[in-house]
Amino acid sequence: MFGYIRPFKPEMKMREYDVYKAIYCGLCKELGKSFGFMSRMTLSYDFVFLALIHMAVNDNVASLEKSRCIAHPFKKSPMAITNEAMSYTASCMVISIYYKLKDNLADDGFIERIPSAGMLPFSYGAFRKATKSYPDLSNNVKEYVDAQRSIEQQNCTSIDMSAEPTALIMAKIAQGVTDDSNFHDRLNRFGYLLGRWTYLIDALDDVKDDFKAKSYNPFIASMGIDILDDESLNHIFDVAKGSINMTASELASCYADLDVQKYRPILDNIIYLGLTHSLNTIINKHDKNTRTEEINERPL
Amino acid sequence: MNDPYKILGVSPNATEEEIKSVYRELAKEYHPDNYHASPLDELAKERMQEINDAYDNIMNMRRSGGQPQYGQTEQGYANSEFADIRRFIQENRLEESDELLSGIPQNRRSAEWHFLKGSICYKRGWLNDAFMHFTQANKMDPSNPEYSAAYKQILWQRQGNMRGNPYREHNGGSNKSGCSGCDMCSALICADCCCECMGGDLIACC
Repeated sequence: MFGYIRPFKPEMKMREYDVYKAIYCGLCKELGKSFGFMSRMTLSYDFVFLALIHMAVNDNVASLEKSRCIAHPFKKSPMAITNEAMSYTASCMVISIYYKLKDNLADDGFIERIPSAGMLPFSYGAFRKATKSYPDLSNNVKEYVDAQRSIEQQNCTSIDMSAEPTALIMAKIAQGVTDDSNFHDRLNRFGYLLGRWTYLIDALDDVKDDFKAKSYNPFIASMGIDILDDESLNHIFDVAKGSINMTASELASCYADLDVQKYRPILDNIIYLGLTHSLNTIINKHDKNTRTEEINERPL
Repeated sequence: MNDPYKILGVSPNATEEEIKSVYRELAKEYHPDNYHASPLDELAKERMQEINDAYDNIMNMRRSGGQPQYGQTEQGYANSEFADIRRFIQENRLEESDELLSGIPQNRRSAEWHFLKGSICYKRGWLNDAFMHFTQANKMDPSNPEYSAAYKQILWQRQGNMRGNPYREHNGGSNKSGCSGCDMCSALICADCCCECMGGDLIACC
């Protein structure tokens, strides 16, 4: 939901990168076609990953075509043709975006509300359409978003508990990618850990902002921090790093158990390098003194 | 494949001791020596093989955690006050086992209690709590191999290690291209050969 689940580009082969990009573009096009122009703005890497997992678990690959897109109207580029994986992913996306916007609207200040309020009417139409196709999923997401709200309002001091609702949303979404019940338990845990990882890394990324805005943050709440100085920040980063690493490691273990073959190199890259890289980027941003090799990364 | 428990004629809930004694009885009965030069010789051999396989199978399954391990007296599980809870955890009945554990009063919360609590958290994906309980179990009873294995495993994960990582050798993404002593020697020998071909010599002694 936040774009942290992405490949580590320097270790990708050109052809893997091209395929990844084609799926990104295809997903964007599918969003525009099914849910209107505005929904394209909300596409993130996380959902490209979900589409890849969907195809890998169902042992499918997307067929590609050369086509134009709005961002580059003069150049034809390869694009994945819409398949079941992409329409499922797109629906999951508009459902979760809608609830996220609504949630933002409920707890942000006046200025912060403006973008969410502006987006909401656009996303509502898309949301209704997606809900029609996946009513159960939509209900589940609503339930868990409410649960997340109440946990945050209670200023929950357990890191595990705070991540639970978001983790459960992803568990449902991941389980929904296939009807094959052999996969359900494994996908459920995989999704759970993926949601947990995303929630925790997003919380870590937002620590300073949350502290300033006095909004809920699981790391601040669990450690009962009153003053955010270098010492307490370092402590937060230590704890968070352990928690996030542990989650990623368990996620990798689940991924290995899924033992998918299609898109394996890309998925391997995301799981084993991309996740760690996302965490390192946040840690480096915090700890500017440690100079690690700068990697030139541009958005796709 | 047939159910190994049926072959031995024991219940899947039998303890390791029970299974061993049944196995010994059967082994005595079907031992090929008893059927020497008898028409039943072949049959007995087959039956003996079947019994051996079934016994090995059960023991392997129990050791690798595929079956409830509450019968393993050697590791002290039979004396475990939490045998039923262990069984629930093995069967993935996490709600019940957690409820049972919560019912144990504070003063009876031993290292094993923390280990089991940690296992439940682990299965639920509550990894922070799992880490806390495994750490506690290991601290209370550092000599127990089961607790220390769980603790070490989760510690390893916290350091960012991943099972099945195909990039592990590459040190997290940055390719290390090295030149070992062997590489250098063979390169020199190659160069020497080339020189000799052209009538010169690089390494005089070879």
